[in-house]
Amino acid sequence: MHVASSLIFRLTNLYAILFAVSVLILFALVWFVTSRSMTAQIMANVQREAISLADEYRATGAAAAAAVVERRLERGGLAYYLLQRRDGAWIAGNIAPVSPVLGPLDLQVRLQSRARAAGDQTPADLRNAIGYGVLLSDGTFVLAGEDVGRLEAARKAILTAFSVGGGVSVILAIVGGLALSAGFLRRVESVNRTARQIMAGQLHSRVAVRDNGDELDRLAANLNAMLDRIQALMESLKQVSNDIAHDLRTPLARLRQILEAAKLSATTVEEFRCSTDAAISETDSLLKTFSALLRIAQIESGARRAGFTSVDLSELFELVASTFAPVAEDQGHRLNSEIEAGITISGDPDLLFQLATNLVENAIRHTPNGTDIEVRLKREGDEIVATVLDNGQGIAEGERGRVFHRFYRLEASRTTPGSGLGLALVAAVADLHGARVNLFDHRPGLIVEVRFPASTLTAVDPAKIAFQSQR
Amino acid sequence: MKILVIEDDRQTAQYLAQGLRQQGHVVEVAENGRDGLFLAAGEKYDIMIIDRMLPGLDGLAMVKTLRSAGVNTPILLLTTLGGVADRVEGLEAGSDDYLVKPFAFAELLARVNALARRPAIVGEDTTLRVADLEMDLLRRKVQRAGTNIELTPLEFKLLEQLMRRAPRVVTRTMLLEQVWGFHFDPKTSVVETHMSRLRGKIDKGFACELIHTARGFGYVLRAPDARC
Repeated sequence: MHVASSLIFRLTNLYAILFAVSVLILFALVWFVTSRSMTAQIMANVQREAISLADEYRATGAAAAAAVVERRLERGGLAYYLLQRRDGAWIAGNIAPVSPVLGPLDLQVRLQSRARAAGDQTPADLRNAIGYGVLLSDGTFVLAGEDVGRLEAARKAILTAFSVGGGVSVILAIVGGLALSAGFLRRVESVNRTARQIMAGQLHSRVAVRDNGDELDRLAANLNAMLDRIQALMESLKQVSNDIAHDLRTPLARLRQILEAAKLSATTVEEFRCSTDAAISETDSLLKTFSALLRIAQIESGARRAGFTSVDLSELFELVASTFAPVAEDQGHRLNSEIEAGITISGDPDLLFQLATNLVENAIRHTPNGTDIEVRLKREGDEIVATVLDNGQGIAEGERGRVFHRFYRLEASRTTPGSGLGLALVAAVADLHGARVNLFDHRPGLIVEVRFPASTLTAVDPAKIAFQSQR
Repeated sequence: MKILVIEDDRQTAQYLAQGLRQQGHVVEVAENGRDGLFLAAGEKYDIMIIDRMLPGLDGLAMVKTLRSAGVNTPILLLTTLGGVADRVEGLEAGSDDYLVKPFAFAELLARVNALARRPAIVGEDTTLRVADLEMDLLRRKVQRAGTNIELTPLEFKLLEQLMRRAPRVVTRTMLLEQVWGFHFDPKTSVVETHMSRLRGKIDKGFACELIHTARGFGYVLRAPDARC
């Protein structure tokens, strides 16, 4: 993995940059505000000093003012004073005479009296200061100043504090970023590991779930659910292939026998026609089986749920009843219906019609003559229940689960034509609609009940379908 | 009739062409979408039979192209995709009928004949008449030789299909699709049962039969010939 492309690197970088920028902004803010307020304070001081000195001069004269200056200077501190005459001659203070400037000004001060007394003047004695000048009516110039050393010291302290603090926080950001993203990415890597294991053929491995309900955990849980579903579908596919391999051999063998017999023994055109007719009908039933299998597989994939519309179940069952009542009658049965009006669900109309058709046709085809068949549709509380009852020979309790398997046929019905896919299709269609299919004993006979949930408009739990299609 | 068959599987194409020629039609075959489109756009055909999956150009796209180019020739789409959504897609693209492979040749022929003489939809009659049989579509009443005949809703719809297409054959599959309106595959003799009841009501007690069974794959309603 290239370092720069790693998510750890990028996340950590991002953290560090964010921290550095925020420290920088904070620093600029503190620097600016402190400088401004300190400058304003110094400015106010020197202005007050200069004005009070000027007042002193006006009130008591030059000598007294000079004495005040000397007194002030004696107190020490980084204050500067200058009292000079109209001609520029120095009267008092610790600064050399300057050309008079009124109001606030920046000064470069050469220390006057003490430096002179010491007798040496070096550039180091040049000090930066802020001053305030007042010109009196007789031309005397009064200047008060204050050294900005205090301001510079404060700025220096701020700079030091922020460079140390900034450095520390960037380091913290890098460490924190590394720790946080490493923790995050370790979990991503665990998903990757699982994916690699599955690709390598370990289809049963699953992503570790921490059960703390965070986003990564939900991702892991969803991935696992997806894997379960895929595995269930694959297993069902495997089972279908096995079923096909086993159960389609019989009709294919029969087809081969027909053709072989025709080749060996048919002599007249009529006999050949007979054989080809038989072969065609055998092929047709094979093709029908294939399309039924495909249909079941397609239903189980859940893809048809996208095409759900509002279906009037009552109307649909009425049509089924009126379609099959004469068929049942022709075969010596009686078909009655009891259908509640106005029952509507969300579903696939063609599949629901096929479901009802399969149930009714099963009752017609696999029962002895003179059987009473009843089709019912009604609401039961929140649920919608469709029932097909007969008083035929029924299904033994032990076999009731197995009749939903593909190609499973009861011993008694082996001789009637059929593919053994009818109830498998019913189960698949019911699952698609979130409905349950139950078989009960009618003593004698069979009750097939399809129970649609209260609201088939709500999404169906895919895990349930996955489970049921494994049957 | 002049029929264009666009089908990439040579064996199927030959089977179709041969069968149709035996029925006296003139058949031209194109083995890919490009040739097919070239022929379809250039010549005048009575019917086009187009395979849905074609190399070079998808059958659906082809139907859309032809329709948008103003070619109104009836089109029968052949396909291995039998789902409802596929059928709807095929019909919405502009084809007139849709036949799922594998199919019996008789089924194809019945559909080709139905397409060739499909009546214009404008000015639809509210009364259908074949010989002495009369159907009032508005009042849902059927009369033969002036006598009222009571039919169930299903029998009425069956008869309506037969009368609309008379004297052409209507196959069992066509009846299932058009009368029931669901794509389902009954294992019992649903169509046969209802047809036999319908025949009992229409033909019983009359000298001449109007409803005939067509060689085991469908039904036809036609006026009695002179012998009757």
